[in-house]
Amino acid sequence: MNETIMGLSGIDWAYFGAAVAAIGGGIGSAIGITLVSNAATGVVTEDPDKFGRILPLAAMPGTQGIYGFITALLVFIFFGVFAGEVEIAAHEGLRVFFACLPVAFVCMISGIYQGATAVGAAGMVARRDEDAGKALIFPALVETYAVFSLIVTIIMMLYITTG
Amino acid sequence: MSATRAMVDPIRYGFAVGRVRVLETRMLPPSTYERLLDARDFAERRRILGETIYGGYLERAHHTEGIERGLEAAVADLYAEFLGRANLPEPLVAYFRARHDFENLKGRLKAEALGIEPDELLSRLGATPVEAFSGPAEGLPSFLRTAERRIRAAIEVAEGALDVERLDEAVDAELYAALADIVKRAKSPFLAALFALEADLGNARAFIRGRARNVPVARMESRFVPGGRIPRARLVSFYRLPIAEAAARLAATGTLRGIDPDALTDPERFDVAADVHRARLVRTSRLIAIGPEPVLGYVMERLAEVTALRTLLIGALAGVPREVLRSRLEDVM
Repeated sequence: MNETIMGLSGIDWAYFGAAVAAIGGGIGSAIGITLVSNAATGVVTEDPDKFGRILPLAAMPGTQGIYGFITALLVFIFFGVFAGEVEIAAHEGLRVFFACLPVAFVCMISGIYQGATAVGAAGMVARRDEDAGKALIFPALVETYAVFSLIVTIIMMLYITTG
Repeated sequence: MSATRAMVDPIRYGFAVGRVRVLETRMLPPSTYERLLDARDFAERRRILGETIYGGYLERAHHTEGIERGLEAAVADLYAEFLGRANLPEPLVAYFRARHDFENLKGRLKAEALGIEPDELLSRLGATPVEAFSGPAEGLPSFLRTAERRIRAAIEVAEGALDVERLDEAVDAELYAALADIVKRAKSPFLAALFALEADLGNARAFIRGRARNVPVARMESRFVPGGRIPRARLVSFYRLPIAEAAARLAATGTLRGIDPDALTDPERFDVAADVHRARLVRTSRLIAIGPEPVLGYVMERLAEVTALRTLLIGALAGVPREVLRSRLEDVM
């Protein structure tokens, strides 16, 4: 188990993948929430009663960070990091790294764009309270692809652990 | 929308746009204008406006002067409470306030030419403190000092004597040059389109009034302001044509495309047609989710609302018939 690829051992690659997933998702969520929060703050400044209706929009880009966190946790659980039995071949570690990439990239990009979409949706809520439900749908469509990326990552990791 | 704009615009304009989306819902709907037109007297109009954001500004107004003061206070609050606190880039704020600075500069020069105190002619809506316009030129900011020097050079008829007749055009030329500079700094395509339209509408107004007063073509060139999409040379060439043909050509040119050609032959109808034409562009800003456009559009719509209210309230006090007032409010109704 002392083999390496590009100087990194199997566990190094697995950690690398977990870190990239957590970082990508976290960046996407942080930027996405910042974007929508600016508009949400403006709406609530003028009409504090809209806080409850606008909060789900502001929170929505936060899910990408959660997916990144889940991916990192799955790497630790599937490959025995918590159990202290870390034994991964270099090529397997590299596969784990690749398995983490869908979440890392898709969650980073979709978090930012979900925030941008939610800004427009916040405008809908500001104009008409009744549109709060409809306003959630458009940013939720962006969420679909973050969920798909998480599913792909999980399937790839399941394949690695069982295969 | 580019990836950079998708990230930068919500950060730069998100707060202001969020406020705009709520504030837009508090603008006067056409039904309120209908009620104001149908009201029996000013007291009833004041009561109707008491249910709107203008209530506080007009509660003590009883005559024209009070209405003017109240509406000026409404605009002052729009600038101070909204524009001033919206974290907007400086040129966007300057675009609105520069007009009032130049209006004050005009008031200062007019007062000097007529030998009266300038205080009555000054408003507090500009970015420059109103006191600066009552004192020596050294107290003015450099851009206004330079503009004043150029205006004096353009309209001085004798040692220190100013030609008041040409004051408006000289101040407008300096104002539009200053606005062109602000628009360049703002780097906003919407503001650029708005400015070009304002300049073209201003030139069309000068064109129509010039024709109505038989102003010779040689005098007209200096009356056209810079910054429009219709070159001044073309306006001058149109000015030589018969009025009907000139109006048809103007209505088919640049930013004026779509305006009613008949309105371009009648100074009274033109002002309403110009407001409607401008409102059409301003309303497109509502379709943009984020960016400077909704913010600029909101301020423009509020200014148009104040103008409409002034027309309605003062017109009704002066006994202008209801149908005439209604036709003048076409852009907001």
